[in-house]
Amino acid sequence: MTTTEAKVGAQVGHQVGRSLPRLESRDKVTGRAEYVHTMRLPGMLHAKLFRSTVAHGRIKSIDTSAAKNFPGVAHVVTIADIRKVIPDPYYGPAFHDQPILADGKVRFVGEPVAAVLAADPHVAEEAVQLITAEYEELPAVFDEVEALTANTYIHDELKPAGTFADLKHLKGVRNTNVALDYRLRRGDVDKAFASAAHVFEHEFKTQKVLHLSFEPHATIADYKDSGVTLYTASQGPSFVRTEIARLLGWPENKVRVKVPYLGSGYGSKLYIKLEALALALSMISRRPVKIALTFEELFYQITRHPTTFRIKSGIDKNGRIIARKCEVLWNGGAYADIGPRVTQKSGLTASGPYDIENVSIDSYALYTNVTPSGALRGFGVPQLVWAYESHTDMIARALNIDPIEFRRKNLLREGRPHATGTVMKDAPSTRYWTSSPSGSMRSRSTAAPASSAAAAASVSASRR
Amino acid sequence: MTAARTIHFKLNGAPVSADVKPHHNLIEMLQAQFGLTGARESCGQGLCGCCTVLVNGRAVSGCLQLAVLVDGAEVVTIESLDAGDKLDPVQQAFIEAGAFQCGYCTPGFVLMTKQLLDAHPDPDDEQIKHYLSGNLCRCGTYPEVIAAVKLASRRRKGAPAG
Amino acid sequence: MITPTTSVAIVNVSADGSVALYCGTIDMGQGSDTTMAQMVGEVLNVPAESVRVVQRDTDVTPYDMGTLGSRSLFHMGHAVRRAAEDAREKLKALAREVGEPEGSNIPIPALFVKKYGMQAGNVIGTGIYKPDYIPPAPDTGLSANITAFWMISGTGAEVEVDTETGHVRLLKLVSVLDIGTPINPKIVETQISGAAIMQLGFTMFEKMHIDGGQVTNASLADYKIPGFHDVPLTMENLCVDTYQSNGPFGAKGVGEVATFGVSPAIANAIDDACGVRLTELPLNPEAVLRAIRAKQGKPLGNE
Repeated sequence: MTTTEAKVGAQVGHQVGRSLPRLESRDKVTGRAEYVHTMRLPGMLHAKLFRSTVAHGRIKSIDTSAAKNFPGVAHVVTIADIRKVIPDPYYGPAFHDQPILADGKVRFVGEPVAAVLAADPHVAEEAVQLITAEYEELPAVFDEVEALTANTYIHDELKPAGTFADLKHLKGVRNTNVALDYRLRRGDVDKAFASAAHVFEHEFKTQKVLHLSFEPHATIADYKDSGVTLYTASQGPSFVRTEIARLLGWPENKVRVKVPYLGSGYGSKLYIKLEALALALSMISRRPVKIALTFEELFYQITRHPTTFRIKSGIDKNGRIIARKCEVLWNGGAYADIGPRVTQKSGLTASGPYDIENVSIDSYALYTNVTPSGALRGFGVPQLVWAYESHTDMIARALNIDPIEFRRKNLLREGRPHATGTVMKDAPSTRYWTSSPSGSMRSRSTAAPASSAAAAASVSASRR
Repeated sequence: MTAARTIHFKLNGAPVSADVKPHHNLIEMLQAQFGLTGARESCGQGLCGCCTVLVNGRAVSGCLQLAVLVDGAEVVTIESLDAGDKLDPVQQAFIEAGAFQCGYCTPGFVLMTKQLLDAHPDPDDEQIKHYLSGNLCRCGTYPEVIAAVKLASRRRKGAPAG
Repeated sequence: MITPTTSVAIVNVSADGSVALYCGTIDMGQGSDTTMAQMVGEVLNVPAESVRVVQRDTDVTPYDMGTLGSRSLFHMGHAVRRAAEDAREKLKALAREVGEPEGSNIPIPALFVKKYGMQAGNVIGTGIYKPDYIPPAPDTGLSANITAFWMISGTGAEVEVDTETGHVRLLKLVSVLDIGTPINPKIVETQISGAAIMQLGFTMFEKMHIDGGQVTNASLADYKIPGFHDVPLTMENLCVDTYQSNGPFGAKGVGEVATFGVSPAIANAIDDACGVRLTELPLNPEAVLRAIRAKQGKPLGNE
């Protein structure tokens, strides 16, 4: 594996197109690949978190005295301590809505309220059990449909981060749980529905699921006056650096973010997660601090958005979809994370990969009192495809059209505009849509004893 | 917190001792005291297989095994498999079959596969699935793992791998 | 995703001819280190195995927006390609500078020795990529250029439904994707089947149970994820033969696209098998059985 024979004009054969084993293969099969969750720094303290037991409430008091007196405990930290080192302790990629620790209010069960630092993680864990908090419970909203019209508000006002131009108009908006409303209007949907031979309307729902990367979230922050180094299980070190520098009021060149191997992420380790808290704890303790979540704690970190999707289609007498109306409600949980981007970026694909003249889409990011939702392998698209491809099949079956034939008739083809107006380019040759390349996209039924079997196909297109 | 006690055991063939507290599990002892991080705690319930370690020749979930219990035992971790810089045939097969993605669960799969092939040198699909059902891969690399096990099986029998 | 999104890469050729790539894409199992190295190797005519992909460190590796949205192979891929091309052009310039004839095949170490009199120096290539993009208009949501590339896939499912228990057995799952031209076909296949298996869990059984805001199944014992026995008996992972005209080497991203069709394909297959339509995930035995019994006019109670 030496390159000393490399020559300026030499040919070693094509490298692109090779089924080369992964470069890091040996490190992974020998167990020597390094992950943050198993890393240690000299002098490091471990942080364990005391979490909210109520879904929505005002914090009346937090009693940390017993934890502070527990032998081996270095620090017990609440938001009041964090404000002394980071005066504006709010973070997030789309909205600066998430406090480093709960600040006056808790907004979901499992929200971090206090942190205990100790050299021995078991000491920190045991001391966490000695913390008590009193809450004045508030009405809570869990469901995205309810959140749209509820008069219980998760946040007093919206705080867009300023990163995204299309969120700026939301700054300071009060009395709402809608963190973003994306709308698309193409053609005249009402007129098209009026002229349609058939109209179908369905509602689909998806549940709350999560990534469960086998390496749970982990960050080590090592703060010094000259700069801070973060070792973090992150999918986006550049973003972490920018956000940490902002919280510190420092130039980016004083913030160093290192990521070794990642025990996967699937979207869970994006933007900023434990990094801000680890930083604050290292500033307070003046020692390296590690936060490594347990598997259980993953359920309080980030999840996929549950959705409610109401979809309505108008079909003409030739089996063409002439109108489609989509209303998608995204259950974003207590903090926006990247939910508003999911709402917009996936929202604009909600009408599916079809050539439809008249489209209306409304896509709403909603705050609720559950674990925040963010990106999970598909950035919202799987929830949408679930709905529009079930809907498409239901229409075809109701009209007695072969579901594949129905899709073929309506698919967006090369050179035709998508609902957004963007013209389809590089569509796979239409032969792939007009035949079944694997023989697998055709419906097929086979008999099996005491059961039935079936096949179905669905198609989707999405963008980034 | 209770006092530590000293235990003596064999780790990857060498006699060692360690000071452990009654609540320490095998994984934290291996990581904190021996710098061996190939066995990793993930689910904490002995269900994912990431923490697989061999104790007296049997695969155990290191996250559920108290460290004090290995006093006098023979402990083998993933780090012992490529002694002398030569990969175990199972490791080589995992590489060639591309039987991992993020790699976090891989050491557990490799150790269980070794044990599987010791018990069933020529396993069929059902035996593989059954034997490895205590190992989970969130990246979903199961088809490749089955291919790797079969490749390793052929290699171990000395047959030309195909 | 967060648009417009930017990737920056650096390719460093050392005086011994060895090549290092500095890029911020995180290899979390998707194989990006390998595919990026292949692109560098393709441009610089070195074996991909010999390219060192430097560990991510913001003091060292340049900016990248993030490893998400299947963007890396496209965005970072272009940046890496450009960085390698830049290095290649600089090597050629160096060859001209030291008096090598056009088309010279001088070994790279000899080139550096000729220039510096000893094994010394570097050639550093840089590449930046940011695709064109027009944000959606605030009032209509329309844009003439909403995406650099589309993600296109189809999924087929064949299922067996036990009408006594509601249990659904997946006999076959076929994923057909347009991912342009694969840089590493083996890694692509693993990405496809891995994504489909993950989405299969979200389709068939995974669910966080929440009662009054409390998560009541926050453990692997109570929240099931796919294991060996949940993998469909047959899986086919296919890519259509295409070339992404604006992609690096005709390629585009693949990490997510195989998830898309899994849920509806299975629900559509269940309908085809036993005539019940489920509109809420997951499609677990209880949901299927409830639908079957409702259709039979013998609905199950709530307990």
